[in-house]
Amino acid sequence: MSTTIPIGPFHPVLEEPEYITLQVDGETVLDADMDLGRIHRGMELLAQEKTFDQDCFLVERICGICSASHSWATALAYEDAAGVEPTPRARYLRTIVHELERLHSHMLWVGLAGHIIGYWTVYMWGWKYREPILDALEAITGNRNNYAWYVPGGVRRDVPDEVWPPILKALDEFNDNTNLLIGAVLDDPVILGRLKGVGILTKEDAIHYGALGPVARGSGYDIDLRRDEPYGAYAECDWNVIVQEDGDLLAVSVVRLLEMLESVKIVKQCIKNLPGGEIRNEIREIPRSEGVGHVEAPRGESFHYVRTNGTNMPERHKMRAPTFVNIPTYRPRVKGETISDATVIFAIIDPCYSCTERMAAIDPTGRRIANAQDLIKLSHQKTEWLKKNL
Amino acid sequence: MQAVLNLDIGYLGLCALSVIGAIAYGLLIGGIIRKVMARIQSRIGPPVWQPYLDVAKLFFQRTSIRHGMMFYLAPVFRTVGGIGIYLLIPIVAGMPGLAGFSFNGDVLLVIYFMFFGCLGMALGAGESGHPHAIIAVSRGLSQMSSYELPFSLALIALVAQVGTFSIGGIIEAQAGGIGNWYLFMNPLAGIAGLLSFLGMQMYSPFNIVLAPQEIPIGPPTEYNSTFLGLMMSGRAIFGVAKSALFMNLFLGGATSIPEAMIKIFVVYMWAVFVGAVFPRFRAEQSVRFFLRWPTWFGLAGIALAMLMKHLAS
Repeated sequence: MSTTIPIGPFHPVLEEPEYITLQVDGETVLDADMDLGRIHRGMELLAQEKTFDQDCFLVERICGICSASHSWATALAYEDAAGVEPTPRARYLRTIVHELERLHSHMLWVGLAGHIIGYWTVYMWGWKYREPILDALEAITGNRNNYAWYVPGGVRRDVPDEVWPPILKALDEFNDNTNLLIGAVLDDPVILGRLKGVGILTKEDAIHYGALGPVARGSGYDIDLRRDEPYGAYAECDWNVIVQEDGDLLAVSVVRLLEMLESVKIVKQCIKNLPGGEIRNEIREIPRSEGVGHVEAPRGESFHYVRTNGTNMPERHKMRAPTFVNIPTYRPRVKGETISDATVIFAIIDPCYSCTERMAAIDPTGRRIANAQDLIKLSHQKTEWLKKNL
Repeated sequence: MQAVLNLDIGYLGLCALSVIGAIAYGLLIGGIIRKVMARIQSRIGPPVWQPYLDVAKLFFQRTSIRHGMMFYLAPVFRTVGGIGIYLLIPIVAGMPGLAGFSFNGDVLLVIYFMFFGCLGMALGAGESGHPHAIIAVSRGLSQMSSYELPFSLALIALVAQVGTFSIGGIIEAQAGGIGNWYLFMNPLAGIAGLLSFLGMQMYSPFNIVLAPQEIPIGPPTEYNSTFLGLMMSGRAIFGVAKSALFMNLFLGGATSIPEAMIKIFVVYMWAVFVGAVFPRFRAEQSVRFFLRWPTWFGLAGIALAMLMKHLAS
């Protein structure tokens, strides 16, 4: 006989209010359902009431962790619509901040993963190691988060040369600390017992569900926008896309841990090869047009679409955070696992629910229908509609 | 049994004082643990007296939530289980109020009291109707059954070696110095005891019963106010009593209050330090762990005890 176990809307494993129900038989999970829509903030409508420059600052509020990703994707979308390229120095500066953001985001996740599996020491140490990266971001942009730095055409402020040496030192220390954590994770029999062979997402399922970022790469699905459609300074840097084949929780964790080392490499190269010159190509006006910007955020591809109408405000601004497509991967992962594993499985995508919620879907009677199956159904309907109309 | 027969009001008063002292010491250890864990994790942590403030605050709160009778009795069962163990075992040998009511066979009664507290908790959690509490109860009972096995085997090893079912007798047999402690006289039983003690204390990696991130706080998830305060007091004395039991069985007991406090603290911190360097096991992983190495050590401890007995005769 199955029982329903509610997780949320307020639960220690969820940083944001969401409601997940588990159908369980004893400790074994038979099925899971995700009911989103509890932290919808109307971001798209807000964005359509702001000017282009203001939009980049608004979309930073989509996510408190990957604020640079949304801001950069929006700037790219407006640059695409205006037909303007950022300056070379801006491309490098943008890349530096974006990779520093990946470092602090992944380290935040390491801490949270430790928290969820009851490893409090890793939880606190992970967050301690993250602090110097936030300090570096503050030194570069003036803020630890929500940098107000990316604008269409470039960045808002230049960075003096004396800022870089302490950041390079902090990166060396971060590298050592990350290696320490990698050793701790890969050598710990209890962590291996909790993560290895648990919550497997096959490559076929990853493709079927449209998984993105480390979630996809942990299942052997080799996609990374930074390499596949280079932007910023990625094409000029020497780095590797980390891919693991196993698809279990350990594989995704290893992807994130090793990606931090790659990000350190990218930032160091960008600082070393930082070109001089202007930081911004001014955009005076954007004609009636469309633009798309997408970047590889820490959790996967952040996608922004803008349609302009010749005024200084977008007619339409569509946003999609990677968590939106990663959430449905809960189901294939969690089926057959235990309740204890379910919480780690929810955390493995590094969910960012508030980033995800762009709408609250209701049926004609007013009943909310935005659970996992409904979202997939809506997504399929929209894809069919797009196929017919484009 | 002599101590039981010689009861008088003064002696009972001393025992009551000793129980209050044990609860206060348990809460203090709780505060120190939070501070030590914070330092390990590069945090400042709360002040060591924070548990006193928490318990005092909870005792002054009232609740309007209504559950069944067992829900209200569970904290009482839990606390009584802790007090029962504490009063049975000698904390300081020969000291009025701390010498305990040890008699031949008290080892078996101690095991009963350990079950009694946990079963009371389980009944209360079941009555609360909260699905998370019910999951925790099922996890707790399975984990308890699994760590009780190696612990019982370690006890059987000691009883076989000493030839008495009395904790007082086991302490007397260890008199004469550290070399006579059963942790060293029968290290295999000692290891089984140490490992099963980790399960009793419910720190990582064996805290799946409480698992704050999965089933927030587990069995007491519905508890608040005075009932939670009573439960915290029960947990404080349970921890002290279990550590004192381990001290008596394997570390030669204590002959003075400072010695008892230090030994109890050291035993307590063993579980805390292990918890600092390991994440949490799943329920079935915990069960599997206790049924493997600790059980084998317990069986080997019995074999060693029999061998030593045979050689001595």
